[in-house]
Amino acid sequence: MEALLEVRRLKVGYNVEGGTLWAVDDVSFSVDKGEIVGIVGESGCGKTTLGLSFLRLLPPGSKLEGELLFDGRDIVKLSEEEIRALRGKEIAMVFQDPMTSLNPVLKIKEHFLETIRTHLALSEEEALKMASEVLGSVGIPPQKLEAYPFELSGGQRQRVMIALALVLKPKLIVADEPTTSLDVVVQAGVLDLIRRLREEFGLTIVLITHDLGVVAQVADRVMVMYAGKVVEIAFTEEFFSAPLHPYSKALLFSVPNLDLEDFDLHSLEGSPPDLLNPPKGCRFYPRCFEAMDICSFKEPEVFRISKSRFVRCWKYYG
Amino acid sequence: MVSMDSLVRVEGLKKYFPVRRGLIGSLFSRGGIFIRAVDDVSFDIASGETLGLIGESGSGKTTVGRLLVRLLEPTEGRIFFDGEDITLLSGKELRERRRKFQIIFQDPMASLCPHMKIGEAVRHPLVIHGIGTEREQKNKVLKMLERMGLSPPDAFYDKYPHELSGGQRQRVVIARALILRPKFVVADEPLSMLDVSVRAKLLELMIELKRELNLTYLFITHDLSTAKYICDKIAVMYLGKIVEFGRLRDLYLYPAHPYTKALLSAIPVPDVKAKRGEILLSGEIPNPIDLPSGCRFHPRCPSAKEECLVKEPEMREVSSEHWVACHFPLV
Repeated sequence: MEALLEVRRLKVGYNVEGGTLWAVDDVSFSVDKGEIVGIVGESGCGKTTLGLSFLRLLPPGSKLEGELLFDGRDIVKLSEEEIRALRGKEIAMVFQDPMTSLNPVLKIKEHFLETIRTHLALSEEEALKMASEVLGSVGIPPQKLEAYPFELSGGQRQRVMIALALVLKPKLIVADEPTTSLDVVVQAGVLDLIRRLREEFGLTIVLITHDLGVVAQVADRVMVMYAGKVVEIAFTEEFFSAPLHPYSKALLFSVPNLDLEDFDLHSLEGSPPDLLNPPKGCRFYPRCFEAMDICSFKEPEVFRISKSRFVRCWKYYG
Repeated sequence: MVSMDSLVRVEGLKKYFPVRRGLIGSLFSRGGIFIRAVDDVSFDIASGETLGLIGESGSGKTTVGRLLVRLLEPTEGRIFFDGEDITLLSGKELRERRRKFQIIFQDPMASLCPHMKIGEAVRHPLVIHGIGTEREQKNKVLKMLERMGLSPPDAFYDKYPHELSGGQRQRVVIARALILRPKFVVADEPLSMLDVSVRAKLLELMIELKRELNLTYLFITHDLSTAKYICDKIAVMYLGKIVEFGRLRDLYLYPAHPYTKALLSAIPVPDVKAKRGEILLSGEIPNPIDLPSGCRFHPRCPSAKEECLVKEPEMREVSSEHWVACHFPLV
C-alpha cells in the first residue's frame, strides 16, 4: 500500500500563559491511499489539533515542527499560497457542528459556488451542476441548493458539509467528529454514507472521534491518542478483539453497551494531565491500573508488536 | 385512577405549537396550522423509578420533559404530581411545588450564567425559596459541591463556568437541580454533549444520587445504550406519540415496534464482529405539521402494509406491562 499522508515526529504547540502547550507531541503515523484511519481519544488529547495541522488551520503564532508529507510534499514547509491552493482542493475538512460551519445567511448553493470557484474557473451553471451531482451522491435533492442552512435538518446539514468537502474530489478528507451532534439513527445513516463514498470514490479518510463505537463501524485502522501522544496503532479488528495499551482498554470498557448481563460502567478515574507540566514518566501513569515502577519516571518508547501494530507502554518492552 | 405509588402521572397530554404565517397565508387559510409536538401522551412514573424517554430529534421528547416541570403550558391533558393535579397551577403555588421537581438540560454551558460564580449559581435556588441564612446556604452548597466530586469545594465555589470542563459544568448543573432536594428530576440529554469517558462517570453519579436521595427520574435521550444503565422502564416516542412502552429488559430483548428495533440496531457497538441486524431507516423524521396518514411511522417502516397507511394503530399490551402501537408488532 502506498502512503498518502506520512506524519513524522509532528509537534504542534500553542502559546499560552506560562509557556508553550504541546497539544500534539511527537506523533508519527501514516495513512494509506483508500484507507479510513480513526483517531480516538478524550477531549484535550490533541486529536482535533492534529487534524487541523494537516490543513495548517492553526491559530497565528502556533508552533508546527516535524514533517507532514502529503503526496510527496511537506505541508509544514509549504508557503501560504501553496497551502491555500491545497485546502479544499486536495485535503478537505468536515467539522463537527454543521450549524456553525455553514454560514446562516448564505444559501447552500452559495457555499458551493464559493468553494468551487476559489479553485476552478467555472461558470455558475457549471459549478452548480457539479454541486447537484455531489449532493445527489450524499442523498440530498438538488432543490436544496436554494435552501438556507436553517431550513435543513441536522442530518441534512451534515450531509451538505460532506458534499462540500467532496465536491472538488480531494485526495484526503479529515472528518472531525462528523456524527457527534447527530442522533443515533441519523448517525447510522451518515456512517453508512462514509463507507459507501469510500467504496465509490476511493476516498482516503481520517476520522477523528471520541466514540469507539463509530470507529469500529467504519475505520480500517485505529490510532489512540492520550495527552498529545500516540499510545496505540492497530488494525481495527485486532484492536477491538484485544486492545494492548491500558488506556485503550479503559476507553473501550467505558463505552456503554447493550448487554443486559453487564451493568458495570467501568469508568476511568481521574483526568488527563496538565500539558504545561506533563508527568515525567508515562503520561497515563497516574490513571493506569497496570502501572509499574518504571512508568513513574521514564517515558515509555513506542514498541512495535507486529508489522502493523505499535504501542507506547512499558508492559510491551522486550 | 391515580395509582397510589405513582409520583408522576400524565393523561392525554398534548402540546400544539402554532405556526406563524405571513399576512397572505392567514388570509387564505382558515383555522390555525400547528406543529403537533406532543400528541396525546399518557404514562405513569412510580416513586423511585426511572423512566427513559427515547426518540430522535423532533420526536417531542424534550417538549414532554418541559411540560412535566411546567415550563410549557399544555394544550390539553393533565399532569399529576404526588397525587395533585398541577396542570393549572400558577404563581406562588407553582413556585412552591417546583421545589419538588427540577430539570437538567443538555448543554451545561448554556444552562449556567457565564458571569455568575458556580457556588452562587448553586445557591440561587435556596435564595429564591428563602431557605436558611446566607451562611447556612453556603454550607449547603459546599457540601453539595463536594458530593458532586467538585473538590475542594471552596476552590470551586468561586470559579466561573468557563474555568470548568464540560463534565464539571454538568456536575454544577446537577448540584443546582438537587440543592432543593426535589423528588423528581427531568434530565434532558444530560450526557450527550460529553466525552464517552466523562459520560460514564456522570452516569454513575446520577445512579448513586438516585439511590441516596430516593429520586425519581425522567431520563430523556436518543441513546438506548446509555439508557440501559439507569432506566427501569422505557417509553419510545415518535412524532409526538409513544409507540412502545415497557420494562427495560422486555423492550431491549423483544422490541415490538419496528422503530424501537431500528433505534437499537443504529447504536454503534464497539465490536467489529458484532452481528447487528442493521436496519437503516430511510429518510428522516417527517415534519410534524403534515403528519403521515395512518401510522405515523409508515413512510419509514421496513414492514409497513396497506393497513398502516390508512389506520392509526392504538396502544395494546403484547405481554405483561409491555405496550406497543403497531398493527403488526414484532412479538
